[in-house]
Amino acid sequence: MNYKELTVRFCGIAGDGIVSSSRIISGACADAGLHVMVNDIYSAEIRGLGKSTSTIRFSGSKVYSMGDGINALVGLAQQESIDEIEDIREGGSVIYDSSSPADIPETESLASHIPPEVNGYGIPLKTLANQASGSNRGRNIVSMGALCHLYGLPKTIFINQIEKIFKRKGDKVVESNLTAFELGYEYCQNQYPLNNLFVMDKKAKPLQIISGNEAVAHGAMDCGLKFFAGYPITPATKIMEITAKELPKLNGWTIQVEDEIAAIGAVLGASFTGTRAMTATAGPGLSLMSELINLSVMAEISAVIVNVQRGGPATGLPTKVEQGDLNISLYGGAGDSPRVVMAPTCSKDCYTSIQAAFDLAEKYQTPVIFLSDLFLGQRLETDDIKRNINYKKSTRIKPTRQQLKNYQRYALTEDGVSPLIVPGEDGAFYSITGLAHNTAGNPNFESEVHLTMTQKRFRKFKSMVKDLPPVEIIGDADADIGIACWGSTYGAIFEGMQIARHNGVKTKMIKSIMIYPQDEESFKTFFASCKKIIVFEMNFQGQYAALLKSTYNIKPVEVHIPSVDPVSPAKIAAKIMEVNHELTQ
Amino acid sequence: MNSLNKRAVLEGLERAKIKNKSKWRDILPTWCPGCGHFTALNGLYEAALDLKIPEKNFVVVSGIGCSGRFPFFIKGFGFHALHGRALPIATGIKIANPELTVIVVGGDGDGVGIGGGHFPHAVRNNLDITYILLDNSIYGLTKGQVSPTSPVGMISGTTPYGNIARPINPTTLALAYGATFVARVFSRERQDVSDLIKQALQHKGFSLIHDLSPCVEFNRLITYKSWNQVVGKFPEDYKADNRTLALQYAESKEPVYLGLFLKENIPTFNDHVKQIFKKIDSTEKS
Amino acid sequence: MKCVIIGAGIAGVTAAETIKKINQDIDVVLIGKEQYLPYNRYRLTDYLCNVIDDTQLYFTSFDFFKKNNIKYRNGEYIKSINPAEKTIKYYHNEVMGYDKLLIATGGSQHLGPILKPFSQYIQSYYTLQDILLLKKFLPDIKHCVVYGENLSNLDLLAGLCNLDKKITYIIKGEKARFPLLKEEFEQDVHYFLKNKGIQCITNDKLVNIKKEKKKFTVETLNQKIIKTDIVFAWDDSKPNISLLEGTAIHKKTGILVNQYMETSEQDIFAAGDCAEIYHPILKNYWINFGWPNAREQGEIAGKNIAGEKALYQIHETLTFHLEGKPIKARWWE
Repeated sequence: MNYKELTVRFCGIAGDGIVSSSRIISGACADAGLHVMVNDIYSAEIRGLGKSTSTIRFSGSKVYSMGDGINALVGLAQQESIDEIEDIREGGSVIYDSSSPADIPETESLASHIPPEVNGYGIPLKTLANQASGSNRGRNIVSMGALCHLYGLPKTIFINQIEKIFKRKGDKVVESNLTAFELGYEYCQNQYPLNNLFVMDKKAKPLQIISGNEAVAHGAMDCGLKFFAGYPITPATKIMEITAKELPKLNGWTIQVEDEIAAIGAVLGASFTGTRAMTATAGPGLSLMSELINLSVMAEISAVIVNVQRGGPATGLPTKVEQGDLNISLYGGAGDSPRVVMAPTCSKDCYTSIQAAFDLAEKYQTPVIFLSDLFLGQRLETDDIKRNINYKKSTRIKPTRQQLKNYQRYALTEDGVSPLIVPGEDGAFYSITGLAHNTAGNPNFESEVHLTMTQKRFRKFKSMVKDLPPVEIIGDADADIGIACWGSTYGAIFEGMQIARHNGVKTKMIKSIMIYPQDEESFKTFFASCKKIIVFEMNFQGQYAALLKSTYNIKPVEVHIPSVDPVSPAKIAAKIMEVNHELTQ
Repeated sequence: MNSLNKRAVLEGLERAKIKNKSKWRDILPTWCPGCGHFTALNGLYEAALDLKIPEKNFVVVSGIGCSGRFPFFIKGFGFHALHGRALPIATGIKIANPELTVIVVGGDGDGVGIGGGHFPHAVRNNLDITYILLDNSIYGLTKGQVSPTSPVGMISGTTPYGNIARPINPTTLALAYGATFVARVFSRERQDVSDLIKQALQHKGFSLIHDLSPCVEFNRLITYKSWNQVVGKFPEDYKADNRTLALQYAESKEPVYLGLFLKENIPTFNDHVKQIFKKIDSTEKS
Repeated sequence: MKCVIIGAGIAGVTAAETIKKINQDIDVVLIGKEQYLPYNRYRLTDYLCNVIDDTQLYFTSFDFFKKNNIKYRNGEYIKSINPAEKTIKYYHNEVMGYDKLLIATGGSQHLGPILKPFSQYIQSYYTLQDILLLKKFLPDIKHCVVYGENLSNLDLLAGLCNLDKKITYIIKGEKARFPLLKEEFEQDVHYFLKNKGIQCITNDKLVNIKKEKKKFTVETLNQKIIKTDIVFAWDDSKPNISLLEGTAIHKKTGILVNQYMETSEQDIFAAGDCAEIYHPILKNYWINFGWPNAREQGEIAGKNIAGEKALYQIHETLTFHLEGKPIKARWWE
C-alpha cells in the first residue's frame, strides 16, 4: 500500500514514553515538512500508573483535525491498548510486545483482540530495548523503528530527531536510543519484509509545531504580557508552566496562587497598575472567577481570562473536551455584565487571537474571555505562525492635560472608553469600586447615574466592532447550506465539508473568532444567503446556536456533538449529507 | 450623602481627633461616630505624612464591610474590591509594580471569614504589604450578625440562641502562618495605633496590624469598655523576636496583649524576584 | 465449549466451518501463522506466474469468519502445548485454554544439509509472503535455475515457461520424474519439458552457489557451472510439529492419529499434512499429503470435535491437473 497520510497511536502507562514517542515522530515529520497534528489523552483515573495515549496524524498537506480512525497502534501496555483497537481502520496494524516475560491471560492479551482485518506485528520490544540500553526503557523507540519500516518512512528523519531530542542527555543516551531504533527497524525488516510506502515530498520545508496552550502563552508574551496568576487545573496548566519559565526573562512574573479567585484577583490588581495581565483556567476555575470578572466589568479593568474548556458541569470530565462553557462566559455574571468572548480554532488562531484579545481588553478596559479547549490546548499541530514580537496595536488611552485637571476615572465619552492613568503616574488619583459609581469613581446609587454608566459600559461593545478580527467565509460561495461553528471543532467540520464536497454537496461556513460582540452585519448577510443553516458545536444544549438564534432570528439545524475526543469529520459529513437530502427532497 | 450624615461624620472625625486632614480626600467617611476605624484612618494619615509617601504611589486596597470604604477617604489610589478579595488583588498590584506602597484594609469578616483562604497565602508570599485588619467581631454593614471573631454565646440576628462557633484569633493566625511583622493594637490607644502602623509600613515584608476596633452600634459585647478591662502591655524585656513565645502571648486571654508580637527580617517576595531577574540576566549575558 | 485450531490451512478452516455447522455454540478460535486470509497454498506458484490473481488465491473472507463467528487470529503462532493444563502458549506468552484442540499445522519444505548453507541465495518459497516478495522482482529475471522433484516444481516450470523465462532444470535422476502415479505419463513429462525449451540437466546435483552482484553462479556435482538470475530449490517436505516438543503426544514424522483424527492425548486432534494416520489394512501410520486429503481430514476432525462420530477412510485422492491430465498424489514417505 502507498500512503500519503498516516495516523499512528501510542498507548501505554506512565513510564512507557508515550508522550516522548509522539514528540519524536511529530518532530521528525514536521522537520521533514509534513503537516502534523498530535492529540494526547490521559485517563482521569489514576489506575495503577494511569493509561495515556498519544495520536499522531501526519500528511503532506495541511491537517485540520485528527481525522477518522488510525492506521497503526503501538501497544506499549497490552491490556490498556485493547480498547484502542476499535479505532483502527481496516488493513491497519498493531505493534505489540512479543517478549513479555510473564504469561498473559487471553483476556489481557492485546494480540487476542486484534481482528483478522488488522495486521498484528509481534515485536520483542522489551528484549530489543534491553539489548540496546540494558533496560526496558526504549521500548517506544524500538517500536518506532518498527513503524518506520512498516510504513516505509525515511529512516534519516527519525535518526535526526532522536539525536536532537536526546542530545542534552548525553552521547550515551543518544547512542542507545539510536541502537534501539535500528534494532526495531531491522527486526521488523527481517520478519515482515513486505512493507507499505509513505509517499512524501522530499523538498518540503521544515514546519514549526506548536500546541494551542503554547501558542496562547507565546502570543500573550509577545504582545507584552508581564503578569500571570493562576491555579493548576487540567487542561490549562501548561500555559502557566510556560509563562512561569519565560516571563522572568522578560522582566515579568508568574505566580501560582491559592485558588482561581486569587488568580483573577491578582490579575485585576496587576492590571490596575497598567500591567498586561492574564490568567488561564478551565470551567471549575472560571466558575470561581465569575464574581471578580463581574468586578472587572464594573470597575472597567482590563483582563484576559483564558478558559481551556473541559467537560462539565462541576468537576465534570477533566480529561475530555467539551464546548460547554460558552454560556457561563457570555452570561456568567450578576447584573448586566457584558464581556468580550473569543474562541480560537487552531494553534495559529491561538497565537494571533490572544494578541487581538489583549488589544480589545486594553483599549476597551474590559475582561476578555478566551475560550480554548482541551483538544485545542493540548494538541500539537504544524502551523505557519508569523511571530509578532512587541505587538501592541492598541493600549489604554491616556488623559490629556486638560482632562487630568479634574480627572474623572469614568468620564463619559462617545465610544464609552474613559482615558486612564494608573498608580505610579502623576496628575491625579482615584479609587475604583465594584459598587455602582459616578464618573469620578465614587460610590453612587442613583438610578439615573446607574443607567448612564451601564449605557457607557455597553457602548464600548458597539464601538468595538470596528476593531474586531474579521469573519471569514469558507467554502463555496454559491452553496445553499451554511455552517456556523466555533472553537476547535472548526477543523473537523472543515474536513467534513471537504468530504461532503467530494460527495457532491457544497457548503459554506462563517468562521468567526468573535463570539461576543460579533460583526452582526456580516452574519446577517451570510445567513440570508443560506437555504439551510447548520450549527455544529460540542455541547448538549446548543449554546452557540441559542446565541445565534436570539441575535439573528434564524432557525438552524442544531448538531450537538457529544463530548468525544476528537470530532469525526466523517460524521460531520454524514450530517451535511443528511441535511442536503432533506433540502433537495 | 445627606446633611445629617455629614454632620455625624464630621462629629466622628472630631471625636477621633483627626487633626491633620491634609491626607483626607474630600469624601466623608461613612462610619458611625465613635467607630474604632477612625483611629486606624488617622494612623494611616500620620504614617503616610511622616514617611512622605507620594500620593501617586500610595495604594489602598479594601474588601467589603465598614472597613471597605477606607480607600475613598485617603489621598491616593484606591481599589475597593470584592468581599474578602483584597489580599489577592494587593498581591497582583505589588508584584506588578513594587514601587507602590500597598496597604490592605479589611474587617474580621472580610479577612478571616470570606477571605480567610487568602490570608495564609498572602502571609506566605511575604510581599511587602501592610494588612490592617479592623476587628470589631461583628458584621456591621449588614447591621449586626456574628463574625468569625465573635465570642461563643453571642446573640445576634443570625444567632438568636447564641453563637456556637469558637472565635478565631487573627494575631495567632498571622503568627502561625509565618508573618514577618505582627502587631495588635486597640483603637482607643491612638498613639500606639499610629506608631505601629508607621512601623508596619517601614517593615520590609508582610505586616499585620490587628486592630481591636469596636463597633459602637451593633456590638454590645465587645466594646471599648470590655477591651479596656483585659488589654495589657508586654513585659519590658519582651523582644518580639521569638515566634513560639509570640504565639503564647497572642493566645493569652488575660491580659490580651497589645503591641508588637514579632518582627523578622527576611527577603520579601519582590527581593526574590529581583534576585531571579539578576540571575537570568547574568546567565543570558554569559 | 471452546475449540482451538492451530493452523489456518484448508484442514483447519474446514474443521472450523464443520464445527460451527454442527454446533453454533462452540467457540472456535483459528490460529494462523501468516498475516493473510487462508489461501490455497498449492496455487501459490500459479499466482507467482500470473496464472491467477490474488482473489483466486483466497478461499475465505473476513466476512466468512464474521458470519460463522469464528475467531481468526492471524499472524500468530503457538510455541507450546500443555495437555495436562489444557492450555496452549503463543510465542508472545499469551496462555489460552481449550476444551478441544486441533493441530493442523501442515508441512513445509526444507533444504537438505548440502543446500542449507546457501539458503539465503535460494528461493524455496512456501508462504504467500515469499511469493509477494518474489513477485516484485520476477519481471526482471531472465534466467532461472530450478532444482528438485516435487510436484509443485512442475507447476513452477510450466509457469516460468509461460512467462518466457530461460530455464535450467537440474534433476538427480536420469529423467524428470515427479511423484506421479501413471507410468506412461511419468515418461511423457520429461520430453514435454524438453519440448517446451527447458534445459534439463540430469544425473546431477546442486552443490554450490555463489553470488556476484545480482547474479548467481551455480555449480553442480558434475562441475557444471551455470550463471543465473535466480535459483529455485527444494529438497524435502516435513510436517510442522515443533510445537509438540515437551509433550507426550505420540509422533513419528508427523503426529500420530487414529481414524477419528484423535492423537494419543485426550481432546487433542490432528489433521492435514502434519498428521500421520493409522492405516488399518497396512497396520501402520501414513501421511496422506495434499489439499483434498487435508480438507477431508479437517471435516472428519471437525465432526468428531463437535461430537459426531466420523471415520476417515484412507484412499487416494486427485490433487493436481497438468495440461488437462489428472495426476494422483501418492503416499508420502
